[in-house]
Amino acid sequence: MQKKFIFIILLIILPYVVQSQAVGYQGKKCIASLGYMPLNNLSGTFLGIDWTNYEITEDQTFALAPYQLVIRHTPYISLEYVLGRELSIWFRYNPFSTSTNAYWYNTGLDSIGLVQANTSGNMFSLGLRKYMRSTAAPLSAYLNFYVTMYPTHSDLSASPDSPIDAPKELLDHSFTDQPLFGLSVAYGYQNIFWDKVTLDLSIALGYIFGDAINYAENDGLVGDNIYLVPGSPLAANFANIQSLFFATPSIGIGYLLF
Amino acid sequence: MKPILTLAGALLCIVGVQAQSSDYIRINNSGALPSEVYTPSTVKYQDDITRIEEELSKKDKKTQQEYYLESGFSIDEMMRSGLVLYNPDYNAYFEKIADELLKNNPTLRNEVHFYLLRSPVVNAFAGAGGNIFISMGLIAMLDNEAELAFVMGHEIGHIALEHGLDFYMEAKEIDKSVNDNSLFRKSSFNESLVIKNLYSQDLETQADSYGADLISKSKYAADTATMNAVFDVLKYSYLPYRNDPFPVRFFEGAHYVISHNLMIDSVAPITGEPEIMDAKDAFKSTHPSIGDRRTAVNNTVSKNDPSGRKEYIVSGEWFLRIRNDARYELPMFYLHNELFQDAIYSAYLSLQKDPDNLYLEKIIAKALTSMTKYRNSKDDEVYAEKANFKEYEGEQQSLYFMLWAMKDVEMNVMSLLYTYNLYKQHPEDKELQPLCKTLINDLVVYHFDSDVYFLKNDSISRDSLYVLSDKNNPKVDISKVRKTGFKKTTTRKTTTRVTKYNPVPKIDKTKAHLLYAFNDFWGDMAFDTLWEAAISERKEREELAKKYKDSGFKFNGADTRNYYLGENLGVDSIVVINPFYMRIDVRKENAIEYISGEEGELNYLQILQDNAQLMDMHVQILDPLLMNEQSVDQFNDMNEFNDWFSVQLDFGSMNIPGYNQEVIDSLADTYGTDYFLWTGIISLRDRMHITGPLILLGTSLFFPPLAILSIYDLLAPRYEFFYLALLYDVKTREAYVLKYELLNNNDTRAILNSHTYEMLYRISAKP
Repeated sequence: MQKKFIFIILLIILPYVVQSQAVGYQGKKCIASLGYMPLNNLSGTFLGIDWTNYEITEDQTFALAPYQLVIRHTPYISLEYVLGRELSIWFRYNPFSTSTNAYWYNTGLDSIGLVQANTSGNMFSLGLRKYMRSTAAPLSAYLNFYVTMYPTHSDLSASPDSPIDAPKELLDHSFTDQPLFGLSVAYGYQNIFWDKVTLDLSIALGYIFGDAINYAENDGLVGDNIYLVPGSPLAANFANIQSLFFATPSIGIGYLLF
Repeated sequence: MKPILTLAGALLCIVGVQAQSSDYIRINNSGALPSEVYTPSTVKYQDDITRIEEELSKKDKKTQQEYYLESGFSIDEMMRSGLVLYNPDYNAYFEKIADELLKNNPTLRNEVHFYLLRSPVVNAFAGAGGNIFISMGLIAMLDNEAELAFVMGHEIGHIALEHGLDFYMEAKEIDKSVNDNSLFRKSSFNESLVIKNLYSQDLETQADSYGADLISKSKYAADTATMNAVFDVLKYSYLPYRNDPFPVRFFEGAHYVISHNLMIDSVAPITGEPEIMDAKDAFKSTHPSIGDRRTAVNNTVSKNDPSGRKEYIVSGEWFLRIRNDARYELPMFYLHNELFQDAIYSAYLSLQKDPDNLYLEKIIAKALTSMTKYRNSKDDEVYAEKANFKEYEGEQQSLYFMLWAMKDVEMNVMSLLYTYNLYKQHPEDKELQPLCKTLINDLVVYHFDSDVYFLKNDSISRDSLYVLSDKNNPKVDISKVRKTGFKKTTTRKTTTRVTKYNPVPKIDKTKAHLLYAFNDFWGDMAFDTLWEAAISERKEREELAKKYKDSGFKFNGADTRNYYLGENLGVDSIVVINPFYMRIDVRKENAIEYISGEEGELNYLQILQDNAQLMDMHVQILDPLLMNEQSVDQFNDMNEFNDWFSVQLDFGSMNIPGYNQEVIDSLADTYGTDYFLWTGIISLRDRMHITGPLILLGTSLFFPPLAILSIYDLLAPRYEFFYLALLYDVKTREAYVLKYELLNNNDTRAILNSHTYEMLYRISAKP
C-alpha cells in the first residue's frame, strides 16, 4: 500500500521535474522553514462548579464540561522544493498534543471527578503548492494542497481541576494508538526578503478521516467500577484536532538553501 | 543689397549641394551629452522647486510644484527619447542667433537653450527650464536666418513671460471654475477647453509681440516680407517645402511603362490654412488665426527702419547647410512614421539637386518595398487612410494618385524594378539585395508562382506597352472617390493555401503589361538566383502546409516573422535597450507617478544588472540614466536600435529589414551579439473593488470563513503590473516573447527579481 502510494506521488511529481524550466527564486529552489501555528485547544478548566457538593444527574452525566479556549503552541519545520514555474512540493513536520478534562465516576465510592485526557502525535504533511496565476514559485500567493498523516497516542493524567484524585487504575489505563490522516488546502502568501529569507503566512482548511481513539475498544469502562464518561475525552480531543485543521493560521520564517 | 545677399545665399546653397557626395551620412548626436539626458529628473525637480517663492499661498505653491514635476519630467523624457538632436555645430548656430537677439538681456540669454527636433512636423515650442525646441520640419521650410530669428524670438517670448507656468496655473483655475459653475457640465461641449484655448491664443499674441520686438531691436531684416514669409510657413505647413511637379514616369523602365490612367488629370489647387478662422474653429485652436497674427506683427515691424538690416547675421552658409541637412533628414523621418508617399516625394525633391544620391534613392526603394509588403498582405489600413490622394493638394497629389490607383501586383513589379535597378548600380550596398529578395518573395507568393509567366525573350514597343497598360488600368472616376476612407483593395485570392504547383502557366491577361518588365534582368545571375530561391521557398512552404493541413497549421504570406514563446535560447550575451518603467495610480487625478516611477526605473536597471551578474551572463544596458557626458556614441546606438525596434513593431508579422538595417547589423557586430532586448514594466495601483468583496461578505453569513477573504479583499490595496520583454535577433529579425504578462501583484523587489531572473534564465539556458 505504501509503495503504491509513493508510486502515485512520484507519477504526479515526475512530469513536473522532467518538463519544468524551474529556476526558483534567482535559481534557488529549496527553502527550509521554521514556523508556528496555534493549536486552538478547547480544553480543560472547569469553571464555577462546586465539586464537593456535586451530584450527578441524568442530564449532567453526558454533558461535556464547559470549555475555555487555550492556545497550545505548535511549532513546525518545513521544506519546500520548486518543481516548476508555479509549482513546488512541500513537506512539513509538526508535533502536536492536546488535552481536555473528562469525567470519571466511581460506582463503588459514588464519587465523581475529573481526569485530563491527552492525545498527542507527530504530523507529517506532504503536498503540492500551486502558486497563483502569474506569480513565480516560490513567491507570493499560493494554494497548498496536502495530505497529513499522523499516528495518535491517547492517555489519561491527573487533572489540576479535579477536587478528587483520580484512581490509579484510571490513570494507568492505556488506549489503542490510532493512525489518522487528513486532507487540507491552505491559502497563503510567501514573500522573500534580502533575496534569502522567506516569510510564509497561510490559513488552512482540512478534514480528518478517522477518530483519535477506537470507540469500540474504549467504551468508557475502566476496571470493575470506574467509568470514564463515554464520549467526553474522545469527542473533545477530536474536536481539538479538528480545530487544528479548521481555519488554522500559521506563520513561518525560512531560508533559501540552494 | 538684399538681392545680392539672396544671390550669395543661392550660390552658397549650390556650393553646399555640390559638396554633397553621392551618399549622405545622417546627422547624429555628437560632442558632450547634455546633463539633462543622464541626470535623473527627480534631482532636477528638487532643484526646480527651490525656486518657488516662499510668499506664495500654499495652493499656488502646490500648483507650481505640479507644473515643475509634470513639465520637467515630460521634457526630460523627450530629451532622452532620441527626438532631440545634440549637435554642437547646430546648437552653436542657434546660440549665435540668440546672442544677437538677446544682446541687451544677458540674464535671459543665459536662461534659454536651443535644440533641434528630429521631426518632420513644422513646429517650435518652449518648455520648462528655458529649453526651446525647433523641428527640422520647420527649418526645412524657412527661407533665411531672419525668419528663423523671428521664430526663436517668439519662443524666447514664451520663456521670458513665463507662459508655461502661467498657462498651467490658469488652466487649473479654469478647470476648477468650470467644474464648479458650468452650465455645460452634462453636455458634450468642452467649455474648459474653449476657455483654455482663448487664454492660449492670448499668450501666443503676447509671444508674437515679444518676438517682433526682439527682432526689431536686432540687426535682422525685421520687415513685413520676413514676417509674411514666416506666417506663410505656418499657412502652408501641411505641404512639402517645395511644390515641384512629380513626373510619375520617374518609375518607368525600358520595358515597363506607367499607364496614362494612373496620372491624375489635374492636381488640387493649394488653399492653405485660412487667414481668418471662423468662430467655431477659433474656439478649437490654441493659436490665433494666421491673418490676425500677421497683421499684428506687421504693424510692429512696419515701423522699423530697414537700413542696415540683414537676412543673415550669423552665416548664410551655416543656415543653408543646416536647412539642407534638415531636408535630407525629412524623408527618413517620414519613412519611420510610415508616411511612405511623403518619404518618396521629399526624397524626390532633394534628388532634383542631387540626382545620384544613394541615400535618397534607397529611401524611395525602402518606401516602395514597405508599401508593397503592406498592400500584398492586405495590411494597408495602417497607412492607406493617410494615403488617399484627395486629402492632398499641389503637385505631390499626382504621386499620391498614382500609388493609390495602382494595383497591388503592379506596385510589386514597379518596386522591384526600381530597387533592382538601384542594386545593379550599387551591388556593394548591403541593404538593397535584401529589399530585392523580399520583393521577389512577395511577387512569387502573391502574384506569380513561377518565372515562366514572364515573356523573357519577347519584345514590345513602348506604344504597345502603353496600350496594354491603359487597358489593364481602367480610368478611375475620381469624382466618386470619397475624400475620407481608404481604397478598397481587391480580396486576395490567397496563394499561400495548399495548391498544386503547376508548371504550366495560365496567363492572367490583367497582368500582361507587366510581363516584360524584367527583361533586362533575366539572365542576371543574382536576379535569377533570387527567383529560384523564392520559388523553392514557396514550394517548401506549400509542402509544409500540406503536411500540417490536418492540424490546422497555416502559413501566412512571404517573409513571415516567427514569434517564439517559451523556448530556452542558449544565448550568453545580450544588450538591453532603454528599459522603461512607468508607475500609474489610477485613483489620482494626476495618475502618472513621476518620482516613484523614476525610482522604479533605476531599481529595475539595478535588478537587471544584479541578476545578470548572478547568472554570470554578459548583459550590456543602453539607458540614458546609466550614461554620462562622454556617452554620446552609446546614446546614438540606443536611438538607432529604438528606431529599428519601432519599425519592426509596425511591421508586425512581416519580417523585412528595418530602414536602418545596415547600421543595426554593424552595431550588432560592434556589441558582439545579435540579441537585443526591449523590456519594460507598467506598474498600476488600481481602485478598490467594492462589489465583489461585498457579495463575498454576504455569502460569509452562510460560510463564515469567507468573511476573512472578503475583509481582506475590501482592505487590501489592489496592485497589478504589466511586464514586457521582447528579445530580437536583430540580424534575422526573429522575435522571442519572453514576458508579456499582466501580474496581479505589487511589483516588489522580490517579485521583479524573480521574474527578471527567470527571463534571463530562459535567454541563457541551453535549448
